[in-house]
Amino acid sequence: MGAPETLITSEMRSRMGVESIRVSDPIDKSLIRQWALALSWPDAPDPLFWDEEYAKTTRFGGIIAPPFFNPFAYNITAQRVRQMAQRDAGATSGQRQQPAENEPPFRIPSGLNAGGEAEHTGVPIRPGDVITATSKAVDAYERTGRTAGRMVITVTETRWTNQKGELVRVYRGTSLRY
Amino acid sequence: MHHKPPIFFEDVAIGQEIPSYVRKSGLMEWNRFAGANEEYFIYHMEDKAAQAMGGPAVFSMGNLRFAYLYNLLTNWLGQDGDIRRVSCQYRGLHVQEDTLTCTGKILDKYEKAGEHLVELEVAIVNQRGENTAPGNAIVVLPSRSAQ
Repeated sequence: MGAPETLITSEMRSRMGVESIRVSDPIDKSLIRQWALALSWPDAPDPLFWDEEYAKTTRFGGIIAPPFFNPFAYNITAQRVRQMAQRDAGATSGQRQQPAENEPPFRIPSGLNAGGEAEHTGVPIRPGDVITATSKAVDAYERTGRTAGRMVITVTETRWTNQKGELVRVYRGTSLRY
Repeated sequence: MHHKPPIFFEDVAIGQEIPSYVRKSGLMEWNRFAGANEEYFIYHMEDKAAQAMGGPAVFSMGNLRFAYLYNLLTNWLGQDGDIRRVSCQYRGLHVQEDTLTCTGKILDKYEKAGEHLVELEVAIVNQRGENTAPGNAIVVLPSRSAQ
């Protein structure tokens, strides 16, 4: 079997430009605190992220989330839990993930995070906020890496707005499949 | 970092390096981050799984790398400055016992739409001197003229 002409699958092509929307739960103070602690560990996090009395005295007038906070980490649907469980069941003890039928044999079919670009508008996330994320794939191209060989790079753009309709963050994330 | 004196736009210069942020990051940090970000991938936990992907050993989450660049910037800015943009590319993997030094160097400063902006080149350099996260940032600083 020769090498496929392109590693960009029809499934990747069909997803291009198609928007998907997720809505967060109202953001809880304790979730912000957990994030702040995880990000600063082993240093103590800034009290701006967890101490309401202190945060009131700042220019923000109350607790805000760290700029890197992700309100969608536990945005779990039954379908997503099944997908994750399936992924994890096939990933024990050094096994590779199995590619789907007719897909190029990627070693990491789900993709590896390769970095990205975040734009912040200056509107912070606060406790009680509900964030709506609108995502779409915006680019897919091939490259040859020094160690990984041929790979597909996909770029996904995600826009976060809060319950007042204010734009909070735009993120263009790059993912590698090889 | 809280109640830190502000860094004013007028007081920074092109070519200046901001204070670096250093982490020796391992499973204690990674697991705490995995818990916050629901990021439980086997290759962040088990050597064999990481090696099946071509890695040398269990490696850390890319998002944590990004988080450390945010820490570099927020530790410098304190509460009076704001991050407008951060980007980086992940190069290579972070394994346990790596010492990661996050650095930032001022490339440009200018006023735009009433804001005082500073552009930086950022990086995460490991103990072998390899840049594992080349990137850029734009931040807003307070101005003495606005006081």
